[in-house]
Amino acid sequence: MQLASAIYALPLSAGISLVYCASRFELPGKIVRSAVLMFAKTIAALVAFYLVLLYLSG
Amino acid sequence: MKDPRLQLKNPVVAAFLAFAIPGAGHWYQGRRFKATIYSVCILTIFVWGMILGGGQPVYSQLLLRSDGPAPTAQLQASPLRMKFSFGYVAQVIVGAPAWPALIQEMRMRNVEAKINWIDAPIESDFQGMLSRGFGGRTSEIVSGTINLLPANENGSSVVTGTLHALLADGTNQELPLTGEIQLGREVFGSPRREIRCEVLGHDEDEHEVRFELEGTVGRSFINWFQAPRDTLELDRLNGQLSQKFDIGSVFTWIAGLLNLMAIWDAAQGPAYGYGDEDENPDDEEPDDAKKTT
Repeated sequence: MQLASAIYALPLSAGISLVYCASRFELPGKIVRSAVLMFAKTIAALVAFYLVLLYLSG
Repeated sequence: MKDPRLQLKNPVVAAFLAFAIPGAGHWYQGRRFKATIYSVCILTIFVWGMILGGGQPVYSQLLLRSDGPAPTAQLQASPLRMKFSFGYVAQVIVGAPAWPALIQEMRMRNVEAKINWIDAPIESDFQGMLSRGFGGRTSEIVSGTINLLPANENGSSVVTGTLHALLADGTNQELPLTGEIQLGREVFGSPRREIRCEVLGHDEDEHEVRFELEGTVGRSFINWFQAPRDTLELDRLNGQLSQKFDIGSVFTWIAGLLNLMAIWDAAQGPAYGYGDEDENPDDEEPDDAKKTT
């Protein structure tokens, strides 16, 4: 159930990344590239945080 | 940072449009790509949050029941105390999709609560409890359909009608309604409207007795959507939806906060520039400096 709830983070992070980067730049290409990078960094950070919690609770 | 290539038209109008409908300000400015990103992302997150929360995460006021005999705020006739919902500060920035909460708050303040009165027939599904017996009181769960009628055409505090009841043992009974009615407020942030009245029945010795009926009937969408509610309704939502209600609420907050960035962008342009500027202009040394070293 916990993992299922974490799935909500994927589309939410994508949406936040797109809106955040759209508010930083004007060119579509730059917006999309920045958003993809931000999305990847966010998911990586969430996975790392989840693994730390998993290790601590194990 | 303003770029001469950006045409913001009237920034105040653009900012207002961006506030009213996510993406509308950018569409007005001709920035169609960003308009699409803002409207699709922000509205999707908002609507998704609403769906997760059963359509109920957005409300501007939390109702506090005054001390008195009424068991819930729905059945309280006296004016209700209201407490501002801080989550609404974030939600209202998403614009028009969250404005019905303000209208419902005004309706709540202005519509008179007629708790002990029924002025029109009500036909609805029913869920509730039927109390049987007087001394050794027992209750049983009842569902079915209910037809409530005022005792006279112009409205009445006494109700008639019928409850087509499905009892807990699986039997169907048609129970005549009677007695003074208690009907939940017309405008309230719950899809279910509380009702209390009496049912005519017979005991084991075939004597006519009255049973207490309490439960809920449906409330029309326009009377519950984004309307103020009390903590009992929030408890019911948390019990029914569990963490989905909280996740849905957070989604609607996030959608509003994201639109804040869109409004700023419509008024001032993108924060970091157009996007084709040299990212590290200081790293490149001027040609003259290269020659001298």
